[in-house]
Amino acid sequence: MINLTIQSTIQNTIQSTIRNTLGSETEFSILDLFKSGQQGAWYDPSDLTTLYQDSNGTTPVTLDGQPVGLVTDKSGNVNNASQPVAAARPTYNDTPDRLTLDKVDDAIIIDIPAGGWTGSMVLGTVDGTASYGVTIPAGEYTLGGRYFPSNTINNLLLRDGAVSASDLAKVEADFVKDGATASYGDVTDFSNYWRDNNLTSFPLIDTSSGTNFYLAWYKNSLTSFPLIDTSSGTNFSNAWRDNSLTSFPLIDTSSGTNFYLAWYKNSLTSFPLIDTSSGTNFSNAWRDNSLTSFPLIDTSSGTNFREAWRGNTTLSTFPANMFDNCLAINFTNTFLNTGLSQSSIDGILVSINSNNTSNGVFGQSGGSAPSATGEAAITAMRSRGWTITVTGGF
Amino acid sequence: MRITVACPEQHLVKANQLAMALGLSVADEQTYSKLSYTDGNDNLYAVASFIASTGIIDSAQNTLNRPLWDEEEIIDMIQAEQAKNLVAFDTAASVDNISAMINDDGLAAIDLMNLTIVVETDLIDETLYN
Repeated sequence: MINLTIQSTIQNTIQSTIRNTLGSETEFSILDLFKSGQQGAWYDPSDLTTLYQDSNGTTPVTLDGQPVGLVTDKSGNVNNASQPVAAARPTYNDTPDRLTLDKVDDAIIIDIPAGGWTGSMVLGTVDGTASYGVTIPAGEYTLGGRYFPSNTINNLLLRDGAVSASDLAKVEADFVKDGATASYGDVTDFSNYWRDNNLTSFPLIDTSSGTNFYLAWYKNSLTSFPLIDTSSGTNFSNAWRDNSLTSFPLIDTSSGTNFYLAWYKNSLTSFPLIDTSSGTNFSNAWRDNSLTSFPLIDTSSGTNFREAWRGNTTLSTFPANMFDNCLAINFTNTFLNTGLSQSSIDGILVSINSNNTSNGVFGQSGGSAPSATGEAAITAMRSRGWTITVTGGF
Repeated sequence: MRITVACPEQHLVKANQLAMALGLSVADEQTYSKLSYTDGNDNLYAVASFIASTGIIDSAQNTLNRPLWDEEEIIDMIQAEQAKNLVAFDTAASVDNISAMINDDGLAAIDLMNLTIVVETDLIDETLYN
């Protein structure tokens, strides 16, 4: 009898496990992500019962083209998103169901509860669908406005706490099933796309058609970055500015011409040998990081290196020959407040001098003064009209 | 139809009274709030873009009536009327009027009004150069 009970218990446990496992694979519900009381929100414009024209929730949305003043939260947390200003309300459109944003002032606002949310955001839009890591502080959080990835919200999920990659993929699949576009592969202009969006991690999405990445990831909290396809990218101005990147992948920047402020104000301690052969503007590109050394990148098309490595106080090792075949004359404050070794500053000066250019400007402070080798290069450059400031005052 | 409206800084208060008079609640006093655009002559503008019903168009073309929701008479109807008289359709933005542009694309309308977005102060660093 006891044996039968044990056997039955074991059988039930096994069957329950199998049932639960199969169930979770075949019948995934987004609501499962909130079933234990997890904080977050889920906005689903494909469910018209969640949309109201006014922010008080008295007039339901029933037709394509109507304004949306309130989107109720389907997660069970009642973290509804609203827009009290009539002129700033998104528009509901059908086929597929979505909120359309005018990219001028349309937005919905969530009141993030005390403690904020650190977790994931899954956003489905007409341009693509992806999952991001986010840290959103308590208070108002705006979805929309001038800077937002896409002009639609087809579906959006915010979930506090860790969510598995497989569950995020299932949410994405659900959003796509409801009409969101799966891939960002057709987007060419990513300027301002993910700007200022509290992102802590970024997914490996298809950006292969992207040409313009101006301010694309500006002002987030990214510490790392995936190896996305940037082979079509020409403008990387301000792209990763003001994040917390400590490393960077070997992305394809072979078409990149503008790297102005691209990695300004991060925490990079190293940098890969990216293809900069088309790059002309490197002004402030790596300024204010924590680099200790730098690879021998291609500077042959470079015209502007103003303040490019300024503020990397630990940058001691810099390749000799870096500026061979580079006709740039704008090196204004390029190495201000760096920690260059004597051999590094010597190599830089000798390399620039080798091009026989005239009337340029060069600036270094911090680190070591040049040796006689570097001083000889300085003397030669000054004879051709260069204005040169270096550590030690030579 | 979509209407995009550019309001110069000096007419913000009046324009927001008009927004409330044509709007749905006191929250519409925040319709023109961010001076995010410039005409290139140091003049700043707040811009709103919205789908306008024919009812709103009709209201804007006749003498304004206090909306039913404004039982506490929050709206300054005199200022709202003054703002209405400043509205000029299909013109470039100007400090002399409140410009309105009918265009399905709000950003295109802003371009047609010869406005550009102001470079945000947090993007400006006097030590940064191109």
